[in-house]
Amino acid sequence: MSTRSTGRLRFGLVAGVVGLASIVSAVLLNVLASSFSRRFDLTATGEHQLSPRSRAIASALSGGGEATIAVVGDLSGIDAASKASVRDVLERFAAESGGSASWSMIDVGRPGGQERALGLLGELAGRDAAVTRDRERVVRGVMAVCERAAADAEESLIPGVSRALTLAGDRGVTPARALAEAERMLLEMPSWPRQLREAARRAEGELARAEGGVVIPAPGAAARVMASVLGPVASALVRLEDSLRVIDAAPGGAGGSELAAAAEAIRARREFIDAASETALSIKPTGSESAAEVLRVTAAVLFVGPTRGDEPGLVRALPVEAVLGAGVGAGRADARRQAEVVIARELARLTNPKTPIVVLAGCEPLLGGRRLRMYENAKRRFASLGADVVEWDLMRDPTRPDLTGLNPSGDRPVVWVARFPDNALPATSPDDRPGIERARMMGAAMGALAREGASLLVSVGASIVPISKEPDPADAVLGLFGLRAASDRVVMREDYDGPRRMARVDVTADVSAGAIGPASAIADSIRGLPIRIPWAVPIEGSAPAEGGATIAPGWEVATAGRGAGWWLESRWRPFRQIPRAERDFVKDPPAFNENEDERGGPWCVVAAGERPGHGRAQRLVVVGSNEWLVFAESVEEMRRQGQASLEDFAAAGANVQLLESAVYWLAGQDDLVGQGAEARAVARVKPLEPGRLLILQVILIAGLPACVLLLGVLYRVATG
Amino acid sequence: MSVILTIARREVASFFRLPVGWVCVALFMFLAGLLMVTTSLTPDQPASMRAFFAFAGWLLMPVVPAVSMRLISEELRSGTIEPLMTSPASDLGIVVGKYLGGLIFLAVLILPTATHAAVLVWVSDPAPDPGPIVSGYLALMLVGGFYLSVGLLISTLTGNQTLAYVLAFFSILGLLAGPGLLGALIPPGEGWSWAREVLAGVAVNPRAADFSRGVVDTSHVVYFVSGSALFVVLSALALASRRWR
Repeated sequence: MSTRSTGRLRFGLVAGVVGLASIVSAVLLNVLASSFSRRFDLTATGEHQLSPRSRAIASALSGGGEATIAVVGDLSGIDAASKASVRDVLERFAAESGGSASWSMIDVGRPGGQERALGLLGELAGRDAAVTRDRERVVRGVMAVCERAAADAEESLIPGVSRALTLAGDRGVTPARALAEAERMLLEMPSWPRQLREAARRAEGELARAEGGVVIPAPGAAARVMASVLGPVASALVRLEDSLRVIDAAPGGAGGSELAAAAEAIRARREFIDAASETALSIKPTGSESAAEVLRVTAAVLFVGPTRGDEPGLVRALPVEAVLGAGVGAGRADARRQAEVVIARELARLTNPKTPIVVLAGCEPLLGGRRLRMYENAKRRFASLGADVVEWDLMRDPTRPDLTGLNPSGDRPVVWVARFPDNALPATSPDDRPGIERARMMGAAMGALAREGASLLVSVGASIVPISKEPDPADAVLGLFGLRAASDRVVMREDYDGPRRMARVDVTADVSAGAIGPASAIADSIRGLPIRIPWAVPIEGSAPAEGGATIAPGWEVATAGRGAGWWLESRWRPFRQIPRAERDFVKDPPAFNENEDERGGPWCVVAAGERPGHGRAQRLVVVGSNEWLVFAESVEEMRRQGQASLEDFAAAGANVQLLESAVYWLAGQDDLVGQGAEARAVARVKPLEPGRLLILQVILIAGLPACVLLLGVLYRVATG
Repeated sequence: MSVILTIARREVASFFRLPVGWVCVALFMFLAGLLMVTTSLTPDQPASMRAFFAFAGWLLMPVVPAVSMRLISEELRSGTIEPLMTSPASDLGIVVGKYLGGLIFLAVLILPTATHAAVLVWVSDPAPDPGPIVSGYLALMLVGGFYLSVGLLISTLTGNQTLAYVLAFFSILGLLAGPGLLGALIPPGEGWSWAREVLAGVAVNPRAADFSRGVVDTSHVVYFVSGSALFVVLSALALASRRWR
């Protein structure tokens, strides 16, 4: 072999070894780098990091079994940027949880996606097996009631009622309306057995429900089917019983003992059916059922809590829009943050599944049997968050609602949300009471609750009571926390439309810069949001507080009246009586009067307090307006009529956010208080005139390259 | 080291001596301007160069081969490689010098797009977040450097510049689109997850996309730097092999 050949061989060997070593080194280096990688977020807002609260929630999962987050559904319609940012958020959560949270994104539109989704549902159904069996047993009990009620209706109820009404008709004069109602019911009754049996049959189908071959029993749906029939039957029986009793009680005793006996028989059956209906309503869907139900109609994000002992982990299913695809255009910049907020809240709920019970207490005028729907928005919001909502109308029934059905073990937090009524209003009907009496009723009820250690959210409005040197009824609650409502004066602002002077009472509150301690959690959650507090009254400290309340510093959550043009108006009542639409056109609107009014804001309009309670700290949030929630409701109504502006929407949403944060804070579930929702200013391209935009486009596309070429020519000329 | 710098300096100067260098810069500015106007300069939309940088990989694809094609090919074609190889510079030194020269030219190529950022700042309210812009430019340099090293290797293998351009173009296209296309061919199921992971590991686009969002991940930096280093070493070996042909 020649020297050259030897050299070639040697070089070939060395080159091969060096080349191979380089490749192996590069691969190893990359494997190591991906295992020990560090990410640096260069965005000014820390867009790609979890907030400290999210990190704390993720860390709390560690060591408690594995929680799973699965994004499941046809994700082809969701833009890639949203998916990427949510993937990133999920990865961050998984990393922060130290392996206690895992995630997956299953696109059923892609090969194998359907199988993976069904596999996940089957796994969830397996986890829920014991709970499903228990609920199935109860459902079958209610199905048996349906069957019995159907048979009873055919065999005894319908003939009995028919006989009684025939007798009533034969025997003399009867109240026409009641008889007509009873006869109408009698005509309806033959359809009941069919409906009841049909409900039982459909319920059976729900219990054997399957998705793509995977059996996922749906006891919740089965119960709903039966409740949808049992409820109306029970209501119809109430009306029938009432009609029969009216006929029976009519002068001349139209039906005599047959009617009374029939009414009594109906009452017994109604109670039986009512109980079955209540039982059906109390059956909640299992986690696997909820997940399957949501996935049937839309893509969803499933949050599956860790199984503890025999207890299957909580399963929550949210429509995918709640997490993914939250924004378009400028909103997309915040899509990641929104996904993080929702995921953090749901993970916190998995670790703390005790959802609060919210009692919405009102004492509004009796409006001829109509209910004042004040809390519809709030109710929907809380229902979507899994909280139970109970309405308590003190005017109808001053007895405190019984919560043992919702809270048998008594370990769920209960938050009482009270709106003090407008106490300047007179009674509207003979059954009604004047506003001042209703306010006192509310004060007495809430004061008693507060003394028992309940946590309350109190809305206090402008009041005529302090004018007569009486304490405001709300002070029975506020005083326990070292607070009082200066409700005799209203925060007003001077405004001008050209030369026309106006007085404004729609106050947008600023989050208090000094909010620390108890108030800071709520303050952080609404910072930057437009909280609208109409007819605001100042909340003040009134030391000494009873029972060691935390009153300072930091009880201020939000203030109003910073800057010129604001004052506290004492003669607000005539202005309030003017219809809202006409206030801007009043000839002589309220103006600052230095002898009676006060300047020198800002004034606190939302405050929070805390004091040592029974076992845990008792908390209070007070809002110096009894219209701040009605405002959110009215915007919702205006939206339906197409009258609300974007600003109104924002403010309505912000107000409900304040309500939600306050309720979670009062429930002691600080982790669920929305994290800093401060609206960050997203940089946008300013509106440009078309001509100017075209010039810019031409410069960027053609002008700059042409300049480069020109520069090249000049360079070559200069360098010869 | 001084030899490397001398080679690099000579390389940079040669780019500007020839029309092709200026045409490259103009071509890149044209493509970048087109991309900027269509993705980032829409009134009332977020003022960000995210989309611009996310497409950086594609933007550089036709331009970098034009820079890399002549790095060694030109020397091979003109025969000036022989004196260069007999100079005191080692094979690795020659390749590193050439690569460094190409990299400096790449920086010069990218620099004028700073006017795009300036325009965006001018027409935005408030000013856009500078973080993602900085990381985006870092991505342009890293991705460009990586492509350049691939082009350098190809340039070492052939004396035909056209062939070097075409091969480098398709190699970069393969790096950009290959993992996605191959990923679509992989059958579903857990058994093939390793293949999916490997493809995800070598994909350039997701890494560039991270930079465009303002995230600098050390693993991405290592990927581009080690990838570039690997191709430079392979180029040096390819050059050294000429001594033994």
